[in-house]
Amino acid sequence: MMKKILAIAWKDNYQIFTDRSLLLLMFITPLVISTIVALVFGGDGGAASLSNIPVVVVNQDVGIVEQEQRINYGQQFISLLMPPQNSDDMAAVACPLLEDATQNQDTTSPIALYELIDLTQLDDPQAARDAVDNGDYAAAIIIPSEFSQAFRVDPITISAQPTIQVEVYGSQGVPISASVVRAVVDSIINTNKTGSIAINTALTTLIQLNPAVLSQLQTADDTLQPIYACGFSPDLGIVTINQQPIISGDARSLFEVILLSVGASQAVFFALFSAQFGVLNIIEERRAGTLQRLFVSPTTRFEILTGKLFGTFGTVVFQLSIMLLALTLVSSLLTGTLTNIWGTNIIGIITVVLALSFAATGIAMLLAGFTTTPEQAGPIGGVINIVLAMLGGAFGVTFGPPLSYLSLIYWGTNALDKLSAGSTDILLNLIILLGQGVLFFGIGLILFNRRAEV
Amino acid sequence: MENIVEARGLVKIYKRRDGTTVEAVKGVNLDIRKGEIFSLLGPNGAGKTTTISMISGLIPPTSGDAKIGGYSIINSPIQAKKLLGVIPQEIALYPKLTARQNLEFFGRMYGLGGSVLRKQVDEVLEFIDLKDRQNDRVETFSGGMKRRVNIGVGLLHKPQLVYMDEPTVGIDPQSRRRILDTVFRLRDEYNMSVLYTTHLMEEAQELSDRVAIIDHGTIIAQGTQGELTQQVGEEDRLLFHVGEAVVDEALLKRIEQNVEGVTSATYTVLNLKELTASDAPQTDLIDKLSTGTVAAIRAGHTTEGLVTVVARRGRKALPHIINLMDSNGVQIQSVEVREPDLEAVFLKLTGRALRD
Repeated sequence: MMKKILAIAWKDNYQIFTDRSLLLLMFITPLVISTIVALVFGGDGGAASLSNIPVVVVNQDVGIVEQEQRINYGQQFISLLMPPQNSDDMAAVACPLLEDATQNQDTTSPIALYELIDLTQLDDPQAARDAVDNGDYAAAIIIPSEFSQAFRVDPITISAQPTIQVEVYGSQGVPISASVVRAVVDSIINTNKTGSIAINTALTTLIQLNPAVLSQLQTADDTLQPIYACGFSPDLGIVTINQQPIISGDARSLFEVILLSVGASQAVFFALFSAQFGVLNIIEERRAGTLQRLFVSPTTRFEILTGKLFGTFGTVVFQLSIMLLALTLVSSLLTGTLTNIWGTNIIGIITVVLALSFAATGIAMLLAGFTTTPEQAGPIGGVINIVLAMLGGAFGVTFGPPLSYLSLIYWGTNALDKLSAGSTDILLNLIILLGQGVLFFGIGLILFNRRAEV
Repeated sequence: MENIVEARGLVKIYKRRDGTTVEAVKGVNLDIRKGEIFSLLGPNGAGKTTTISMISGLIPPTSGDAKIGGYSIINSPIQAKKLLGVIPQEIALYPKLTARQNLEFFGRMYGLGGSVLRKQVDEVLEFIDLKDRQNDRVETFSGGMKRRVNIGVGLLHKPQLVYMDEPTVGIDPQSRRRILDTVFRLRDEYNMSVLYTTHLMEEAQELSDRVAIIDHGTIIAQGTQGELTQQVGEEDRLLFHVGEAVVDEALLKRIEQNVEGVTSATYTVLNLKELTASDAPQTDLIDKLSTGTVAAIRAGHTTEGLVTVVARRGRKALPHIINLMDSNGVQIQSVEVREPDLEAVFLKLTGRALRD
C-alpha cells in the first residue's frame, strides 16, 4: 500500500518541482516581497527607518528599598525609552560608579530608542490595552509589580532570579510596529538578565575564592545594593543599554524583525497556494481523466487520496523549510553576519512548520471537498487565502483579534516570532494549527468522499 | 466458451438537482467470452459509457452486479480490476511526465515493480512503437503518439480483458487504422478479450466477434453479426440522393406499390448546414455520412434530399425505381445499395438511424 501512496506523492511532487512558473510562485515571489518590505521598512540591515512608534507603558513595579533608598528598575526601564533630558526626572537607580565611569555611548548610532518610540505613561493596564485595541498605540508595555525584585542581587542565596514577564500587548493592526516594540523589550530584558547573571557569577567566584567574603557581603548588603544596580545602569557602559540603537549585540535588528514577520507570513501565504494547487490537482486530474484511470486500477480510494495529500503535505513542508532557510540567507547577506533569524530552537521550528503545513493542506482539502471544477476552486481558493492573509497580518494590516485568531497565518507567524525571540510558549499555537488541520481535513474528506462518482 | 464478463441487471439511476431521477442504464445483461472482441454499439447518449463505467468499477451501479473473471466488481473490486485494462476515450496521461514515466507510474498502480515493471514497460514501448521517444515528455507528442501511450498504459499489466472506449474518435484515418489493427493483435497475439464501445457501425462490423446494441440504456440486441442481421431478413436498403429536389408522397406510394420487392419508401431532407456546423472533426463526420451526402456537402449544397427504399433483391428493383423517379422529374445524383448490416438492425429495432 505504501508503495502506491509514495508513487502518487512522488508523481505529484515531480510535476510541481519541474514546473518553473510554479517554482517562481512558491519561492521567488514570497522571498522578493519579504526582502523588499524588510529593506523599505527596516533599512539595509544596519539602520532603522521606523520612528515615533506610539507606545503606552504602565509601570506596576513596586520597586525595592535598600539603605532607605527606593530603587525602581521598572522606572529605569522606562527611562531607556525616553529622551535623555527626561531621565533625570525618573527615580532610577543611582549608580555610584557612574561619576568615574567612562561614558560609552555610541553617538553614531543611526537611531536611538527614544527616537524610535513615542512613549506615553498610563497607570491602568486595562486602559492601556484598550487604547491599543482602539488603535491609539502600536503596543502597550506592562511592567509587573515584582520587576525590581526579580533583578535584585541577593548575595546570601546567590541564586537564579525568579522569571519575570513584561507584557507587550501588540496591535494586530500594525504588526510590524508591534513586533519592533516586542523586540526592543526583549532586548532590554535580555541585557538586564545579562547584568544580573554577571553580578551573580562575580559574587559566586569571589565567595569560592574567599568564603569569608560571604559574611562581609551579608553585613554590607544594603550598602552594596546600589552598586549591584550599576550592572543594570543605562548610563554605565559596562552593560550598555543606554540610548541603545536597535542594532546592538545579539538583539535582532529592525530589518531582521521585519523580515521575520513579513517573510514568515508571506511564506505561509504562498504555501497556502501550493497546498491548494496540490489538493486541487485532484479536480484537475478528474477533468483530465487520469483520476478515473487511477480509480479503475486496483488502487483503493484511500490510497489515492492519501498519496495526493501526502504529496501536497510534503510540498508545503519543503516550501516552508526552504523559505525559512532562504530568508535566513537573505538576512545574513544583507546584515553581513550569519544570523539565524528564526532562533535556535530547531525542534520547535520543525514542529511549527509541520503543523502549519498540516493546517494549510487541511484548508486545501476543504476546498477540494466543496468545489467541483478548477474554475470554481481557483477564485474561491484565492479569496480564502487573501482573507486568511489579511486576518493573519500578511499584508501589514489586520482586523485584530478575535478575527486574526481565525487565520493559520497568525498562529504560524506568531509561533515563529516567539521561537525567534527565544520563547518556547508555542503550545497553544500548535494546538490551534493542528486543530484547524484536523477540522478542515475531516470536513473536506467527508465532502469529497460523498461524491461517489468521479 | 468461458465468459470473462458477466453483467446482470445493471441499473444506474442519477438524481437531478431538482429531485427528479434519470435512469441512464436499465437492467443491462452482458456476457463477454474469453478471447473475443465484443463491441457495444449505440448512438451517443445510449448508455455505453455508463454501462462500462459500472463494469470497470468507476461508478457503483444502483442495482445489479458485474463479474470480471468471476470476481464481483462490488464485492471484490481489487481482484476484478487486476484483470481489466482500461483505455479511455480521452488521453488520460500526465503531459509533464515522459512516456516511460507515465507507463511506470501506472504500472505501479497495478502493483508492478522492480525488474518486472521495467520489462513490461519495455515490452509495451515496443508494442506501441515508441521506444525511441520513451524519454520525451508526453506533451511534446502528436495526437496519434499520445493515443498509443494511452493504449500502452492499459496493457502494462497484461490484463485478460481490455476495455477500449471509442478510441478512434477524432483522429486521422492512419492512426485509426493502426488502432483497429492493435485490437486484432490483442486478441490474436495476446489472447486478450476486448470490450470495444463505438457509435460507428463500420468499426463494430469490422472488429467484432459479437456485438451488443444499446439504446436508451437498454440492450436491444446481442449476438454475432450474422445473428443480428438475420433479424432484418434479406432486405437491402437503397439510398437515392436527390440533391435539393423535393419528392412528394404520391411518388413514394407509387414506388411501394409498383416496384416488386419494395416494402417501404421514405423521404428525408438532411440539413447539411447543421451537419457541417457540428464540432465533430471532419473525419468523424465523413464516417457518419454516406458518400452521396459528403459529395453534396462538398458541392456546397445546404440541404440534401434522401429517398430510402427497403426492398428484397434490391439490385433487381433498382432500375424500376430510377425509371419512376426520372419520369416524375426527380433527378437522382447518386445511388447506394446497402446489404443487411448493423445499421439496418438498429433502424429496424428503433426506427431511427444510428447517426440520428
